[in-house]
Amino acid sequence: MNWLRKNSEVIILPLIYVVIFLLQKNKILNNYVIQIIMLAGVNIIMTQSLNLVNGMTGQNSIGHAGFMAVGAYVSALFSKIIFNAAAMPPTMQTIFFLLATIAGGIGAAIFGFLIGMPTLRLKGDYLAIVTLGFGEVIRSIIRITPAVGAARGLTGIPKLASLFWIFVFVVITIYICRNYMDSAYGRGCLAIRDNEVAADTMGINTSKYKVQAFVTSAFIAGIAGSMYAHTLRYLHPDVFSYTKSTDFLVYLYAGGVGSISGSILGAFILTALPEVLRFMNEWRLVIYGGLLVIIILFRPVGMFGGKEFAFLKLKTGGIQHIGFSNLFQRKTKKTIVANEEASR
Amino acid sequence: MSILKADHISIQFGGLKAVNDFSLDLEQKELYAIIGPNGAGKTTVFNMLTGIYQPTQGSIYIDGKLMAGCKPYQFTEAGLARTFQNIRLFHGATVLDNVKMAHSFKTDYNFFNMLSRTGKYHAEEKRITEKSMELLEMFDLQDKKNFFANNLPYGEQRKLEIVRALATEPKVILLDEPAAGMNPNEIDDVVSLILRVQKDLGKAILVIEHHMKMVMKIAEYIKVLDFGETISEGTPEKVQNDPKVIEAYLGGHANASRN
Repeated sequence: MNWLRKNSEVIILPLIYVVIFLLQKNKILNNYVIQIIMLAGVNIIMTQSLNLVNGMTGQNSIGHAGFMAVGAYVSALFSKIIFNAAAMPPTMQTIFFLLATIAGGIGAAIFGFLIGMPTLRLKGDYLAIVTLGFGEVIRSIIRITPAVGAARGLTGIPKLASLFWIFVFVVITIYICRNYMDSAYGRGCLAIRDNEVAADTMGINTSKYKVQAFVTSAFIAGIAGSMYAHTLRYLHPDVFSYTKSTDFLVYLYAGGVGSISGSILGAFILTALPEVLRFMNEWRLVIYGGLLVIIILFRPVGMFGGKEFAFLKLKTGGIQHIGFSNLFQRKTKKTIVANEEASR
Repeated sequence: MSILKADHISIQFGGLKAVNDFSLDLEQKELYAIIGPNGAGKTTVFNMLTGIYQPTQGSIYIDGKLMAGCKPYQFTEAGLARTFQNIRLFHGATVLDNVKMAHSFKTDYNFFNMLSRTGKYHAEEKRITEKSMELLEMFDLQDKKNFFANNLPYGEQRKLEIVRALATEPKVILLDEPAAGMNPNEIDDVVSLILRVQKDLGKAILVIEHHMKMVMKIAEYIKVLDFGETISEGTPEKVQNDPKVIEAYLGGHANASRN
């Protein structure tokens, strides 16, 4: 029982899936809602990925949709054109879906490396400009490449992603990001975020740490791209525009930059919100925008900035651990320290 | 053998020669000090000795290793640590994490051990935490391990910076104005802290300080800089009575002769 209380995630996470699954099976949630949930999952993966760069390492990547595009197109090509996965038996399909996803991740990671290597050696905001340009360049290249459908878009991608697989990849991403942040690698990145000069003189090879985090982030973004491609079955280059990158930035900063829980909830809530508000027709985006303004005004660190779910068991960063019960509760410093003590 | 050796280093920024022909030979357990009026080039010397600037002439050796063209983190790997004149802690992290961050480059697990959390990861994390706690306990900061670094009082921030520098297990520590902005009581604490690091932990120390009483008390050997030139060096007694030093600080030889 005590073990269970300490490792509540082994219950909570499968439970979330089972609940959604049962709701789907019993037709309480229709396919439209399920698809929103799946896209929210993709957005969670993307926001996690962005959090590694913007939140943990303190660098600014503002063209992250570019990596997602690379991952989406590479994996779609892999499953559609090279292996024609649609004509395969289901088990083979799953295997090829996973392979395509990894291929998408690797493709994005290669671009991440090529971009990160020269820019991250510099101190300052060069990464922002370069990633911004990268996102647009990738989009333009896709637009003029007939092999990937050019400006018509890539159609007929097999629907291989399912609620289950997206859920699995969300959990894996969270696990990886948690492990990353809670290690010497993550601490090195946090040190760079807080003070790059001091990090340098503490023996941290700043450009190496930054590139590692950036490539990992690009890899995860590629995986999100693959999930996206195999969910919607149709890719259009303009989907991965600068607006898309901005969406992820909004999820991240409204959720709480630097916080894994913040990126999860930010992405989920802000993906679901416009859909929930759909009954208000044209007013929904006004309310959406108004909410963002309110969040930034009253909680500049984001909804969950500086807080983490207790089940993540993060030890680094001096964050406040929150359980599901006290999600919105304000706490005094004393209880934070006491919680920290208990969690060690 | 010398731990830190600077062999006639100079640096030029455009037409300005900020430091000219500076030499230093620091051995184990020695405590040297660099003093000089504002703008004399003391911090520039530090920045060269830690790899932030590359000297335009001359060379630097740490523990006998030539450091030409090395990055700051390589200087730290070679056994050098420093603190900063304006405190540069990792303000978004707790006291304990600050010290743990300084252990980063010595961690003995690779990227995939980290991502999959193998036994090696857990063993290393435990070792790092224990070592960091040991250091914090040594300097009475263990009760504040969960404070954010920028919530500490000023004196303790300085202390934490020294502790963090020690966490890289250096052979030589460079302290840039460790007593800046402190009251006399705090200065006494810093003095005993520095002497502990030198005597008990056996580190070589190079310190820049404006507080003369403190420098004269702790330093075994003093180098005086003015406009980038080494105008005097020797034991505290010798430097104190050097007319050139008095001239640099008080200006004009008339004052010097009157004293």
